[in-house]
Parts: sequence; C-alpha cells; structure tokens
Amino acid sequence: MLRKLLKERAHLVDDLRIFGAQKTTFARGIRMPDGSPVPVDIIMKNFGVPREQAEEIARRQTR
Amino acid sequence: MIGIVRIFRSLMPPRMFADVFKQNPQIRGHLTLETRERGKLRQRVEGDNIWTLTGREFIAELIALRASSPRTAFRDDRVAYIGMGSGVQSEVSDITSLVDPVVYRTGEFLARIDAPATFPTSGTSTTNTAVRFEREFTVGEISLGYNVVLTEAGLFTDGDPDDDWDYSATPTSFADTSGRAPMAYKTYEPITKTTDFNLRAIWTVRVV
Repeated sequence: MLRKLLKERAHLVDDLRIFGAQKTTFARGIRMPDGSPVPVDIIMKNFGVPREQAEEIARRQTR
Repeated sequence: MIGIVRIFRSLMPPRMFADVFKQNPQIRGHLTLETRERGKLRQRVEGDNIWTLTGREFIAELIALRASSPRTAFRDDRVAYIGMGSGVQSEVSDITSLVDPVVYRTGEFLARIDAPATFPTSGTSTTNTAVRFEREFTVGEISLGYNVVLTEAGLFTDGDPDDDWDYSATPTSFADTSGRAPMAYKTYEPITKTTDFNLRAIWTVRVV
C-alpha cells in the first residue's frame, strides 16, 4: 500500500528509482543543448577522428 | 569465543571465513561525481568501482621486483588519468575499454588527475591505507559546446600498454587511448555535464 502510494507520488522527487518506479527515458550520450544529435562534423573536429569513425560515434551516441 | 568461531566456520565458505577472521586485505574503490553551477551543487552520483584484470595485474606487478641488483621493477607507471564515457556495461573484471568514451578536450580522452594525490585519514589511524584521486573538469571541458550525459568512468595509469608500460611519453589522445583497458571501472546513473557546470571527480581507493 505504501509502495503504491509512493509510486503515485514519485514524480515529486528527482530520483524515481528509490521508489522502484520506472525512470523516465533520458537522452544518452552527447546532445546539442536543444536535444538534437551532435553533427558529425563537430564530432570529427572535437574527437579528432576521421569521418567514418565520427559517424560510428554519432550512431552509438544517439541510441 | 572458540565456539563462535566454530559456528562461523561451519556456516561460511572457506574463503569468506578467511576474509572475516584472518583479515585479508581488500582493495576497494569509490567514485563520487558532482556537478556544480557557480559553486552550487546540481547533481551528485557515487558508487563502488570494480578492478579490471588489467588493474589487478597492475597492483600485482607494482609490489614486485624484477631484479634486486641493480634494483629494477616490473613497471613504474602510476595511476595518473581518468577517462569519462557515456556507455553502459556490466561491471565485470574482464572489461577491456569504456563503451562510449568521450573527449574532455579537443582530441583528448585521458584527463590528468590532480597531483599530488592525497591520503585521507581514517580517523582511527594516521597510517596511509587510502589514496584519493581528484580531477575537476571546468565548464568548457567534456561538454564542448554540447551536453554530455555521462554514465561511465575509468581510472588509467600513465604507462603505455603498447610500450611495456613506459611512462615517458604517455599518449592521451582519443584516437590512441579510447580503446584502452582501465585499471578500475565504474558505471553509474546518468549525470549531465553542460557548459554551465563544473564536474568534480573524486576517486578514493582504500586497502581495508
């Protein structure tokens, strides 16, 4: 009963996991401030890798 | 007392019994990450790390001599770098690299840990049985114009595994080091690094 009540109120706290509730999906990896994927050209420049590897990094980071 | 010991011995596996009653040391690591915005704490995550096989080999070789005269060691590298990533994998000893390593500065993966390392005291003893490694990433590091959701970290030495752990010219670039095996590894709940936040990493290793 208490667990059910806490789950219903879980949105009031930052870390939902302490109540066993499902954590909301979050963007993984690197993202532009607006949430969009980081362009491959920026990955190439910042990571210092060739385009092919940058594209692979971009793919993995946007899963 | 002897009776209690006998009861424990009958209930516990032999290895656990030895750990409890013969005080075999364990090497425990604990990672704390904090993001701060103009000094105000924004997020904090922490947890115990695992030691990879590479790290266990490092510790074993570190305490041994190759030759006594002239005195030479198997290796002279030391824990000197931290690497951050945004991937997730099981914390097991045969980890060979971070899943999705990220650069902290243009083209650079391994970030140097502050030197000298410090030795936190336990409160009951002045003997150095713990060491603390720290690194503060500035607002312009890791988040290079974009946000990075960090979920993994590794501790690395300054030795080059491709050159018999030579530490004289340690490569730190993403291209050269992002596939390296860390000595210690931790995956943790997501912590977001933006250009508004500093990130402090505190990695404490205790021999208990």
